[in-house]
Amino acid sequence: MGRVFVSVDMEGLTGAVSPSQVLPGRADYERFRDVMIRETNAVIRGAFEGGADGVLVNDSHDGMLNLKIEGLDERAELISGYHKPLSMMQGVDRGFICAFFVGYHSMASGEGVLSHTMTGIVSKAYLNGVPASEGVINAMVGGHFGVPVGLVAGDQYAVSEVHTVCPDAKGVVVKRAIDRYSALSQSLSRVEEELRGAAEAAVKSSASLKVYTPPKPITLTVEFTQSSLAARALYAPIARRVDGRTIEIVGDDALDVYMRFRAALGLASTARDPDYG
Amino acid sequence: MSHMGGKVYISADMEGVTGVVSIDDVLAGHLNYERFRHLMTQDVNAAIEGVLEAGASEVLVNDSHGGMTNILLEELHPSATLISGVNKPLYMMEGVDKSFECAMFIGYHSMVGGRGVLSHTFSGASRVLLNGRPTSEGEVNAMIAGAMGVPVTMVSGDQYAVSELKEVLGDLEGAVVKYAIDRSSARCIHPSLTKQIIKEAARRGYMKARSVKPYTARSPITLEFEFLQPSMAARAAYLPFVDQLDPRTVRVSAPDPISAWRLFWSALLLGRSVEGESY
Repeated sequence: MGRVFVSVDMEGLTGAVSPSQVLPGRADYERFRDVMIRETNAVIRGAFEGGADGVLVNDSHDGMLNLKIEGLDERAELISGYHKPLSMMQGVDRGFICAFFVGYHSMASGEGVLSHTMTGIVSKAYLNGVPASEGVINAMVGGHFGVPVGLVAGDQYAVSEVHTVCPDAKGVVVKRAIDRYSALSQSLSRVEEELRGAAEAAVKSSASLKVYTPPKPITLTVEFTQSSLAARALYAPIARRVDGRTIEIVGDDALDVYMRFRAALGLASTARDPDYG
Repeated sequence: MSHMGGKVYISADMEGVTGVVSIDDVLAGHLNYERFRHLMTQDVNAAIEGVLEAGASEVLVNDSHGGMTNILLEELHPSATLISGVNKPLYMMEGVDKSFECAMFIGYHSMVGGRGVLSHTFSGASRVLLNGRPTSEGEVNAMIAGAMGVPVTMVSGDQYAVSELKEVLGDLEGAVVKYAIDRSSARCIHPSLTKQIIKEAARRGYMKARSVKPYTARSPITLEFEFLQPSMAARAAYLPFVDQLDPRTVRVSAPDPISAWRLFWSALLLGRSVEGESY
């Protein structure tokens, strides 16, 4: 059969609606670490029930130290920690039959719960001219290695955004966003059962899943919150300026485009002012 | 060989300013910082007076230290204009172009690893090599000026800052304002005297502007640097033009100085964006 890659974020978990639930050290963070591990374990269980040989879980939220290994399904392996070149997709390679996105959220400027794209300095990102979420960008990275997205879980926006490029991924809407900071959530036990079932079905149908490969040349457009951030990103000759605060990365190789995107965000962050952004 | 009416470019750093020996002298908000803003402005003014006396008509000063808002405009010589603030693509050399007769470096310091006061070469790196040789901020900045056809003719700082730059530039007026004992101590010359020393060196520096050749580095220009931590080098290597040589060392290469500077500076900044380096 093959292995399943699982990227787990936090803003798209059931019940999560507030920064205090997803930022380490904040009031409700520990509760949501437990929710995170339960949703993760649910898809691991489903993946094995569907016939997977193994599961690699990549902690993909914030400092990437959220998933507690002692609570993880013992059949899975865990990547944790920061400074990973492929970030939320670290560990993915040609050996996986499909990728699952759990706890995912919608794109920056969107109406979904805790919406953003990679970092707060991005006001909007576009892939080939179409607004793109982290899920879409990560689907492109998985696609580079021939790995299709088999499952996406989050609020209704997070799921529908990924469906625009991966229409056959199993979607699990764990909550319905009312605002960026409020949602109607399903119970955790019900979500666990849905995730398990969707994971099982995804693995069973993985051979027919379509791999996402954006048409070439790939254009990744990044609109920053401030012009100085765009200017700083362009210190490196890796992109061109579209307007004051927007840059454009163009290339034929998805991984190359993605790494330049990562570099541009890292560089731009060095120009951020704590008071004026 | 006087040439009346020319423009002079001044890049002003702080570690090599008269009297400076400690981090607390040069970091905004720290104990002695406010005192040394005055002395930094005074060192710059001394150079301005020197070049005006020698016949220059216009001076552009680029505040080149830290947040780059150190120089006190209200105390700056009225004949000068001032570039202040951050996010300048050419950084310590922002504003330099071929219209300048010469460039001068005030308050400069020696290279990383050296014995000079507060020695470093752009923070974040424990070693920086230009075309295979250890280099200083002064040399890299002289290369940028050289790309515009502008020679660097004068530097002020401690004895190492001056001798390091003389070694690579050759014909250079040096104003030694203090003698480093250690990286954090120096025997300092009184400001009333350094004022004269800087002014005189700047005057001579302007006089010889047309006889000094702009500094050029052999093409292709290679900048190799060792980061303090491996994760910084790994992050810098996200950039497609960065070669990672070992866990901490990266290299960039370009045919011309300005391109080489851009690659170097963006790689260094990206490496420095790594957080959580307490270990």
